[in-house]
Amino acid sequence: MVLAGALFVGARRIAPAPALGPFLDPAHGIWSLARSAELPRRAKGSVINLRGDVKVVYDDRNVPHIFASTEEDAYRALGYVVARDRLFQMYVQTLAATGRLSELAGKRALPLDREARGLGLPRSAERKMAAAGDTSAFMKFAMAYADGVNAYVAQMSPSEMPLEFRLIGKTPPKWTPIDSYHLLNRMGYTLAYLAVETERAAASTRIGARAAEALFPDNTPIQEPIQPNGQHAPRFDFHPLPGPGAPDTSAASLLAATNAFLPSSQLARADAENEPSTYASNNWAVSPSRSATHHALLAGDPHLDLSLPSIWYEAHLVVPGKLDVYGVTIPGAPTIVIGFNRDVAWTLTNTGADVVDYYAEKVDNDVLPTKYQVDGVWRNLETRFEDYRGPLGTVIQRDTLFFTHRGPMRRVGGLWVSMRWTVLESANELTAFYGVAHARSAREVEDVMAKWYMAPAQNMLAADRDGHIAIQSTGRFPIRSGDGRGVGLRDGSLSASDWRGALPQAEYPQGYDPAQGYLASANQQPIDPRVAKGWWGGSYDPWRAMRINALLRNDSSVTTDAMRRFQTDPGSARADVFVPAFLEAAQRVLQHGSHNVNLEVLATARQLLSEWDRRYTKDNTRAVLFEEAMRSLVNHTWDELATDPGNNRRVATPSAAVLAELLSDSTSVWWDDRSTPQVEHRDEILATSLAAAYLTVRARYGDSGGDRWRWDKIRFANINHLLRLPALSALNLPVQGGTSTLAPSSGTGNHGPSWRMVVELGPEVQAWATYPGGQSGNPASARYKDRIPMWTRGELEPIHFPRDEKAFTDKQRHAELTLAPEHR
Amino acid sequence: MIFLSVVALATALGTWVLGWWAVAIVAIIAGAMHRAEYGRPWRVALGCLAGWALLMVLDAAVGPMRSVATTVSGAMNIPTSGLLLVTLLFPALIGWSGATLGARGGPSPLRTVGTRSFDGTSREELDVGFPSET
Repeated sequence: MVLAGALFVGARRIAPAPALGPFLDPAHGIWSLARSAELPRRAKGSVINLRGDVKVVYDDRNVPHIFASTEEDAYRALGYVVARDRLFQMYVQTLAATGRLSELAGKRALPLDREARGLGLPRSAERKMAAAGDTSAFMKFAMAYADGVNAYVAQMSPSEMPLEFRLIGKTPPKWTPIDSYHLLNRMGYTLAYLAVETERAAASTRIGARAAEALFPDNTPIQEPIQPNGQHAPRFDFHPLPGPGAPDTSAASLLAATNAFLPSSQLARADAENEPSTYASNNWAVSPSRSATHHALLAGDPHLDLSLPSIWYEAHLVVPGKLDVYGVTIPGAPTIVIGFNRDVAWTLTNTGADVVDYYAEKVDNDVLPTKYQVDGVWRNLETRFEDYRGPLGTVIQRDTLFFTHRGPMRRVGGLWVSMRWTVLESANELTAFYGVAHARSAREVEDVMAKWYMAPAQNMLAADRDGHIAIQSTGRFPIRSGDGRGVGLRDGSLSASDWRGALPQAEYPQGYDPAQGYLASANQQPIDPRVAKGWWGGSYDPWRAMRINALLRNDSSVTTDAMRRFQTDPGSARADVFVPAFLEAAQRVLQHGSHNVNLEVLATARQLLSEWDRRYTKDNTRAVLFEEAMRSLVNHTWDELATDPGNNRRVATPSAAVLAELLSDSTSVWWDDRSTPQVEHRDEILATSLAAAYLTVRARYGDSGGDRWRWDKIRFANINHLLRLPALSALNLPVQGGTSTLAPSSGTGNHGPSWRMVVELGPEVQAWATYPGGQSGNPASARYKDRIPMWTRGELEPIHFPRDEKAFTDKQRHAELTLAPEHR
Repeated sequence: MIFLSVVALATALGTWVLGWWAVAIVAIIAGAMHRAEYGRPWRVALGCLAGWALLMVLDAAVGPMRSVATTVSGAMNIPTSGLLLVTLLFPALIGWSGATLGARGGPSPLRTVGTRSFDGTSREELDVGFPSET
């Protein structure tokens, strides 16, 4: 009996515990992870279809340098080495992208899966794959990459099976080229599905369309666009904001539609912050005329959700005479996304344009439609059945999905609503990146991107060795009928409602060797509305752009070290606008008195805030007061948008830029706190917010004298493992930066700089970089999160960029892998 | 001592070549060969435990065992010592139960000759492996 029991728990997984036998087995189980935690000094492998031997040298930062004789072999090797280090990450990302997370996490992941499939992401990947054809560049390299991944999986020793697979009792599935498409769609889902339309509609249902348009404007009231506009300072297009009007009930349909389609993660993000939040990133380049060494400089700093393993994997691919590209790839994507070659460097930020529209469709059957009507003609709906499986493989949910020629369609209230979204449409993003890897100039980078790249729209910045710098907001930007704006619920029964094409490259926001000597993007509005021909919509944040432009304007001899320092610069344009407003308002209230504010408390709060240099350094003890004051100000000001009276949750929250606009109108009706009988003006609300913030902070952290107000004891970066296992995560990391600084630190700390890179385009390209994680996906490896300390300090490591494998010194040569053709 | 070493080595080798369930085979065989001897299942258990401990020492010799222990136990939300204990007790349990089963179904208690036991402990006679049918 005892033996039978022991063998049973040894052989059978009793969730959540894994089957103990293979799990504990010191020869093949978890303990054997020790043997594979670090790369062996020398290793060999084989890959099917390889044309010749491929040598991979891992340097002292564990970066694989792949030396191959053909490009396809280089991508086969890339698949092999990425799988070697990040196999579980590839698996989880594929599950997420294909709406199959419930196979891992059961029913609790079902909402996410239904959302991914309901948006049509897996269908879109299948269609893109079919459209690409077997002979396309993408398919050639994606198949080569899959060869490499699958070769590694087939050859890995039991000790190399990642811990996470052991914990969940699964084995790695075969990798197929379509998985790479799934991954790119997932990036589109993350970056190109913005909540601004939903927020405007939600606000309309409370305060009317006119006020909602003003609080959620197409154009941000602070303009310092990506395409230089010839001005040498931000422009404040401030106007009085119209007061709240009667609720607009017609917005309810659009709100219901967007909520039905809107990814839950985006909603959660919008809800978690006090102002709309999107994925942020920075990039900037400096012309030789303003660089200390008279070479072009480029800095890349994409901000994404932070995770362990990191979203990025660093690699160098060399095919003599054909390819020599270094940078970061996303595990599963057979390409270098951000990086440099011998002539040019490039990096991306998210453009944030509105590329989603909704259509009210006319269908033949309101319960189970089979056709929809366009211009009086019935068209067949595409129907797709989706089965969702649990961890044991049983079907736990079945959905019927409908698609029009525009995209997915679903029933929303009494309407059938379809959605058109650029991310779901045919595209050649990987072809674009292959072209960029071979580019010889900044101009060529932009041209290649314009030719092939569609979604998610990106601000592609490039600098080359000839001293040119260029930027271009690249993607498919739809041209709409009517007023050209992509807002509201369009009439799906008319083909006139459809997009009429896409903006030509000439009209993309762009800059090339501008007179100002630098280019910068930080998710701000890409083009000044005074010169823009098209409508951009979207969601834009001016603060980081203001800061980086100020730093670059004030430094006429920029060094690579200054570029590095700028990436973690603690200064804040947002604080520069709001801190003086708080101080001056408090001063006026102290002078004239107020019924609403305890003047003694206000005086103390004002004194404490005035001591702040507006820099979010780790040791500053005043940012906490400012952030609380901002939170309080938002709550006091936008009470008209509260979900319930007295509640600090809102249906939508206008941006801090709109709040700054409101500062210019001291008697706006928006300042009035509706919960009090008297009518408040700006100064009272600012003073009340500051005093309330002081009391809140004091109650939470004690008196201001000690170090409990220190920023590094309050605001942290939190880098969670993909399975959110705390032991495999890096939590509560003190970092420099705060809301809207160049290294933004959000409330949860789960989002931030995911890859920092500085490149100098001199006679020999030099680069420095790091990311919050490590190359290895094995949590027991010293390389799992070895770069985090450097990342938290804002430091970068010099990158090895050898022309051939002989260029490595013994110290730099950490490990080697030789891949040979596999003969069947 | 020799018996313990043999069981430990057989367990380690069997686990390395065949997998974890080789522990049960080794234990049953070891139990069957010495079915009547008092305390033998415990010694088999100890041998199996030692076999896995030996493999863990080999793992530790080439990799960061401490890191693996803290990582895995952290991921499973159990103390590191608990994970170690379970890892060592699991083969011991199989060893003990397997040896007990083997002793019931295997050859009869062995005839002994000489004055020293096979494993070096003091005995009247040495096992030679013949059934004691008397």
